[in-house]
Amino acid sequence: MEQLKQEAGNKKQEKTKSVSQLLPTTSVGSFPKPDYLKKARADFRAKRISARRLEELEQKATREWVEIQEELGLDILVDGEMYRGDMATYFAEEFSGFKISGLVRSYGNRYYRKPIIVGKIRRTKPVTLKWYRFAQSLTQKPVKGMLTGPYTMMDWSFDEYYGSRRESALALAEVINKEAKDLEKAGAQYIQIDEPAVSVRPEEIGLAIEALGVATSGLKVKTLTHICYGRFDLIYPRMLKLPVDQIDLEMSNSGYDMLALFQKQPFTKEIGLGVLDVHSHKVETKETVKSRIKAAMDVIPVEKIYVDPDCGLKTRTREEVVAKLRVMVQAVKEIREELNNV
Amino acid sequence: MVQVTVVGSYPRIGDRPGEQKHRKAIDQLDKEKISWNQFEKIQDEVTKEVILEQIKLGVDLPSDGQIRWGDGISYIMRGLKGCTINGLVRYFDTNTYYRQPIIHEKLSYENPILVRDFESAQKVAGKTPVKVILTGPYTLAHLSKDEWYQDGRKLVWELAGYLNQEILALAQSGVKFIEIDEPAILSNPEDLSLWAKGIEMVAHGLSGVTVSLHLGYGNISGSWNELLQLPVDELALDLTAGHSNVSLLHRKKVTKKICAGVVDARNTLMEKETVLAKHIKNLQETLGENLAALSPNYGLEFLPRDAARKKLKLLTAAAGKINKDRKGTHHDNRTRGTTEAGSRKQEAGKN
Repeated sequence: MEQLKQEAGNKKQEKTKSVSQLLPTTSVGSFPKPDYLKKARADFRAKRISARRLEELEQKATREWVEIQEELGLDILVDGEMYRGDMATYFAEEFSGFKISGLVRSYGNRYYRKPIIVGKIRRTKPVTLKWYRFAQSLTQKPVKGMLTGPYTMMDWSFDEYYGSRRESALALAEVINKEAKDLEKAGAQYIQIDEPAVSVRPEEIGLAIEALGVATSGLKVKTLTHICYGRFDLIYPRMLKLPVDQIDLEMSNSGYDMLALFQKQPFTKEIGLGVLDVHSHKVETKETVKSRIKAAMDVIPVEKIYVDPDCGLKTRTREEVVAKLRVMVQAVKEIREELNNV
Repeated sequence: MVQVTVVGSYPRIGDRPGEQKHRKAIDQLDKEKISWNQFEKIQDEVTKEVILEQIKLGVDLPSDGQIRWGDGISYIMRGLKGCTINGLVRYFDTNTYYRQPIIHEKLSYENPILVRDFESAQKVAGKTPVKVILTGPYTLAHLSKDEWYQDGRKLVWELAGYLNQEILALAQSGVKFIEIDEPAILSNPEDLSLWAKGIEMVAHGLSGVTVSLHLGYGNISGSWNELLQLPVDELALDLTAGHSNVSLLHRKKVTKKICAGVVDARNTLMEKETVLAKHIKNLQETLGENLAALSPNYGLEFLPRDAARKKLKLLTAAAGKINKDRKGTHHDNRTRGTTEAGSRKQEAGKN
């Protein structure tokens, strides 16, 4: 807490950021789809409803989630990804050069259709731009542009064309860069390029850095990447070379083990601090969330911390999501008050 | 005879009508719309379907597809007392996950884990022998969270002792072919001697059973000498074209039977028949009669079911060609049934 006071003191002196702006709260990306939308997606696949009707319902669900985030008082919003299925497959369906596989199992009873690279990867039209614009039109708060990173897209696809992991990752990076630039042009203040696969093959962290460099090349707005699952101990501190302003990490699921790493080697970027376990139905207590944030504040300067759940929340129920996020926002509010009083 | 086999899993659902049964059943079980007994019945049905499908595609030595296994780790560990099954952890460098067992007290082995599965699978397969898959002690220890032993060696040896009991129980129930999966060892070469002792303990006292050891997620360059010393009959290796294991085998003296994983179960790209044939021919020239079987390099569950079927068809076509050629050149060996593969057939006949 000593450091906390000092940080707060520094902040007051600098007057660059008021306490109310510290620890901005946000989400990682996905929210659960309402039942009517799940049904509509199934109906669309079975050709019982039109694409237009499906889109109307996707918009309705997006609107609902934007409203929920506003009500909860989150600082930086997401569109909730109502129009996406799997995070890699969605982009593969929109880029050319892909086809989509039959069902493969991920774990338990979860299956997904995996992208297959069958030709040169191209972007024939903007993919997420329309949804970014739509969500941003509903709120005064910033909405993040959300993309899946080139390394992860490559790692999660079958490759029948390039025959080289590097070549396919770099081809993907080129098209993702085009999409990111379009989002920037449309006014996105934050562009998040998710790379959950980055921590899986430590020997390829160099390739992940190279590909993300291409994907973020020329961007002036704040860039961030989300990473989850894996052996962070093997890629830290090398992962700090990922060319983004902020790295968003799943922290709760691993009992905050990573803070020990950051004590040895300072975390030099902004951090998106995962404070909610997205795999658990259990709603965290406010005290748990506060203690997680404070533990991070002991090793990372407070002005570099953004607060969010560990990962996308689409596997939780709407009630769980709302309850978890409410606790998170409340915890941040109380810490801000404590900082104000020091 | 070069046989065709699988190494472990088979896709439990597919995109054709009627192939979604397993997924729907779990969903209904979760919603309490069907009972556990009804669910088990469906698992039996799906197991039967995938065994018969493998046989129909020309697989000589099918597995039960590991339909009941949520993953390679928790299914075995659930059968032991002393651990609980916890959250999801990524399975090596794949985009799949396993549930991590947490060992919170001294483990104990009370009842056979896989005997019932084997007996029902073998009944379905009739005269075709079914290979039982068993995850090895090192991998189970390495991928579990140990809160009790606090000593990796002790845990491996204890698990090896239980797996030995399991393997003896399996042998007693009539199992003739066992595949031990040790996916964790190649990426942890510092533990080779511990691991080797674990395998020795598992296989201790076993007779009349052919044991194959499946390795993946790494290459065998650092462990080749140890591998040759192990008390197993066969090594099942990733030998897809271009894998560093292939050039190593071409350089070394091979004194064990090899199950060659020549088609890639982690990519939908179909191997070209002519290229595959040439690749296998090269392997055969190096390995001779030690080329005992052809298989995919990993469990087929990484592939959509249609792609898995196509890969198996490629394998059976390639094996058919080799066996035709061998028939011409090794007529005596085959008819006397003195090769490993020959005696396998005989054992299968006895079943």
